Amino acid sequence: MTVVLGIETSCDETAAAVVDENFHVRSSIIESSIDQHRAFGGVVPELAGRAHVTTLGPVVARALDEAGLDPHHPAIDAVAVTSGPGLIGSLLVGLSAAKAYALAWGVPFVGVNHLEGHLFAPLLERSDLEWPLMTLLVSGGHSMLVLQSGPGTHQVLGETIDDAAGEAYDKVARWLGLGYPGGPVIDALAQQGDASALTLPVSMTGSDFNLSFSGLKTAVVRASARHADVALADVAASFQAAVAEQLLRKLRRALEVHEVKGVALAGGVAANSALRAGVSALADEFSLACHLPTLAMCTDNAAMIAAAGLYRFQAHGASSLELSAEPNWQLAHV
Amino acid sequence: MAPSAEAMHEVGARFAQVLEPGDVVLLSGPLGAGKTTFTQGVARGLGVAERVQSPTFIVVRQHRCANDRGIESLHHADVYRVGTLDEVLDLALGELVEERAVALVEWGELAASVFGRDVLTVTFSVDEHDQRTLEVGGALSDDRADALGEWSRQ
Repeated sequence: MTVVLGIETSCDETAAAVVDENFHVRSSIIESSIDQHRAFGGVVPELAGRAHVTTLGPVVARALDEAGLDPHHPAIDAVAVTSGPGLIGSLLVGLSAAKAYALAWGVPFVGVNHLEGHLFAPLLERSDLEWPLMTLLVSGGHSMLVLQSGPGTHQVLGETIDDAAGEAYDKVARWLGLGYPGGPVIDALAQQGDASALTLPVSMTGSDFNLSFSGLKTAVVRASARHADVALADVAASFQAAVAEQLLRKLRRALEVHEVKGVALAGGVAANSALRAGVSALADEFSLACHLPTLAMCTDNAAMIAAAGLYRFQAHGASSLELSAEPNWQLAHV
Repeated sequence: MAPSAEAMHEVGARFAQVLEPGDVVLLSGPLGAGKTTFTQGVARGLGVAERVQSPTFIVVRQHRCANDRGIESLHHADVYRVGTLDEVLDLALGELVEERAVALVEWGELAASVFGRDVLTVTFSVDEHDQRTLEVGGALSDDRADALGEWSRQ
């Protein structure tokens, strides 16, 4: 049976996982350097790169050990690693390590697009997946609507024209003095707030599938500065409602135009409660299977990278050891 | 100027017309003042075909340009998250622009000392009526100052 070791270091998570050809996760280890970044209000590229260097070796050893493999001579068939998009310094740590492991163990090496990794996440949690699938992929670095006709076959219907949804959460949270990361803290505050407290503009009302969060971010900053009397929870609730409203409106339109069997949510912002509830309701309305990732699968992880690597390896073979990191690797170019 | 993305795009596109290969432009101003939107306009003015998204996540994005002024690429950086000035040096933006390129750096005031004197600065401010003001500065030759003066009157 084909077994793949996956490695992920594109941002602030250092992760390794072992996945087999049935998309069964044999182990998945995630170490986050998020506590180090909290003091700076966001991921600090240099800190992230250095944290990966010290953390990756032990994380890989643990992933192999937990999968019942010998960490020195593991019986694996390939090493898959995120080669983009992400922070260049962080990507290079994982990429160099993956190449070294592949050479040392005499197995093929496969470079994986991080976003395609997120698209494979549902395969790791559901064995009854039916295609085509409409996926809303939202994270700190990306926001897009993707139509998947099968594993590894995807079409980006639309994406953000400025900031990512998670980036808007982080920036608004920082401006409100709520710390980093912004998603969980705003989500929690929003539960206690009144979403109608601030009137925020509705962005991207056109018929395409593109998204935009820069104007909304600005509007929240301006409106909360003007109405200093509005409670923080109400600001959080108004902002969260506006983000979800835009994403769900575009998702609804995509489901009206494209016939699919299921709808999936992926990426870090998939942990957001308003978005999960909204996607679930849309799936019910359109009578579609709904794939909401577990919280562990929302986070950047290496199991999804191993899964995408497994597919890439079986369908297209190994990557060249000369493959370099691509910080700006678009999903549409995979 | 009015707080619309279209207006900011237009201003950026016209600003692009005074840029020359090798220029480093530091953009400063509060969150939501229009730095990324302005850069989108500059990109349009330089003939960038692809979408210009926020560079915050990956720190620097490169865009290929198509214009008749010898500017072949645009480096769009956001140094807000970069921890130390050494890291800004590591980005080597000054060297990146030597070859037929320009760089726009958001939150550039945080790293101004790294770039030295030969930079242009665009400072964004927002008043209580949400009107935006852009102030351009930096070491300018008389020709450039004239061109920018022309730009600001448009």
